Amino acid sequence: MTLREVVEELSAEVLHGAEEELNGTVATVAAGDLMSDVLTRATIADLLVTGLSNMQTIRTATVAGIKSIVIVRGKPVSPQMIDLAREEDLVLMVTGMKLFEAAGRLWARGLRTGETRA
Amino acid sequence: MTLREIVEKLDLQVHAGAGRMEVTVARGYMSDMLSDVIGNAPIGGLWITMQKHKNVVAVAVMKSLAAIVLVQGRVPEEDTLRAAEEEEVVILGTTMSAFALAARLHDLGIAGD
Amino acid sequence: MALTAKFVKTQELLFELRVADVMRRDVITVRPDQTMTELRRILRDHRISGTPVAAGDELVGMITIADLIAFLNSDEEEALIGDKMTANPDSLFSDQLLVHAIQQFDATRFGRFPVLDPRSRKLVGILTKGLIIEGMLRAMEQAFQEEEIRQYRASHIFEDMVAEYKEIYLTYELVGRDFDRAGKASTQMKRNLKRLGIRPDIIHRLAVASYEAEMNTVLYAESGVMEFRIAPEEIVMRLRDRGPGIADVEKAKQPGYSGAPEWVREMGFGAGMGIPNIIKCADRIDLQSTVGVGTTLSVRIFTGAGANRAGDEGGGT
Ligand SMILES: Nc1ncnc2c1ncn2[C@@H]1O[C@H](COP(=O)(O)OP(=O)(O)OP(=O)(O)O)[C@@H](O)[C@H]1O
Ligand SMILES: [Mg+2]
Repeated sequence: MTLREVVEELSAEVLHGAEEELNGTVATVAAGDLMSDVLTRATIADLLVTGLSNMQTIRTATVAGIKSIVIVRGKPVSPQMIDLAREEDLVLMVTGMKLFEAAGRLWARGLRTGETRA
Repeated sequence: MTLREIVEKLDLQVHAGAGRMEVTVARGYMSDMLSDVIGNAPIGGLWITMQKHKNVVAVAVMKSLAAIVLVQGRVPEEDTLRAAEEEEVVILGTTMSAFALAARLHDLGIAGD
Repeated sequence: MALTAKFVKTQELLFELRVADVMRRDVITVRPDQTMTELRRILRDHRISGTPVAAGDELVGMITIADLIAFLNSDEEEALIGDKMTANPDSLFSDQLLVHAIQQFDATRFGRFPVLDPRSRKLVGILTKGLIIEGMLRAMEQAFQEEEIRQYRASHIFEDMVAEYKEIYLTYELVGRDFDRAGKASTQMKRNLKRLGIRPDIIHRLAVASYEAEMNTVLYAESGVMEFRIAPEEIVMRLRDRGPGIADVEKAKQPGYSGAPEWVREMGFGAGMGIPNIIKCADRIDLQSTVGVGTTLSVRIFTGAGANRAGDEGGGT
């Protein structure tokens, strides 16, 4: 699905990301609040969905090579996070939905988790 | 849906609380932050997490959660198990990711928001 | 601040410069139909030891003082530059990163390269090691105080940097509990390695290992110094921190083991997967810790032709 469809499905607000970037497609997800878990995946996910909203959210995505982030539960996102997302060229959005609901909806639209490294 | 049905349908492991499988579950919550679960998880819900340390039991008691499900093959620490038995908290397990488990439960009609 | 920390800034600067930023634009050129006697005069008048040979603004060769000496030692009376030059010489493009240019200097041992415009392929400049050093000094002038620059000059650091380019050192200082910056060193390092053209799967493994280690120091220790040595065959990361140390190192290596307090979990860490992740990503690790003193972690990743591909099991200590 495209990132724009993710925005619609999750009723998300885009905090950083140009219009044309939202045309990009995503197929795999890393979802959770623990960043080391995100970093264990052998395949690089297209989308990080997390309830964690701090600088490490952005930096973990950068290190893991994940290009887009959805912050759930309507957690406040600091201006520094948005600046860093811009600097690292990541799409950053926030939704009021909870992680469970977001997971259910993205799964229904065909998104899957990448495998965990053996 | 009862815990038993969920355990059977999704082939979950039972780490603790095998005797309390007839509880009905309507809602689910996925989080690895205790403060979030304390603040936002639905009372009586099913909690999906990576956290396996003892504090999860206290949170489950506080929120009267139907069960904790540890994902990605994580097993409860010893004192977590002990506390779970003492406090009569159900701990389940799966090798699935939290994302996949939440999605399957969602499919079974367990509500999120 | 330690000299190493400033040195890091210098290297980051180096990563951003392009050939066009430091090359000489008013290139002295000779034509292939000029004679070697004329070349002798031109080299002497301009005090240069080599020059591009151009037909119009088309580069056709390079001729150097070595070619002139060979000619003078022969018994030829006269010759044309076009017959003595090196035809189809190696060249650089003006939009190339300077770090790549330096690699080319090292690989070939040539003292100078003609610079072409990437689109028109016309000769637009010349680059020598001296110009690289000068250009870096100029760029630094904007970033540093006079005093610091004098220090650099005194330490001959530039000569070393160019000569020893094959081994790059990056050093980062880490501060415990500084969560605005935590992880920044690793992401910066990752960016620099991309610029150096290192294989993406290797960068990925190094970035994950480095980030996990950096986070551990920021979360659990007081301060630390993280150093990277980037050599042709391997990349070595070493992080030394001052802090509480790890009582049972073997236990800390177990997947799922965490001694993290609750506040760490609230920050998205404490799954007990950091050190196991580091082990998976590394070809070799060495973890040493003294309780009450600190922890030293070395991670080595092989980068040579036979290096592990992504997904291969790294592992092993
Ligand atoms: N530099 C360090 N100084 C002191 N203790 C450390 C250091 N690094 C790790 N530890 C201890 O070792 C434990 C295991 O570290 P590891 O990185 O594997 O997991 P974690 O940090 O707890 O969780 P995660 O990395 O998954 O977020 C930590 O919980 C901590 O108690
Ligand atoms: Mg860690």
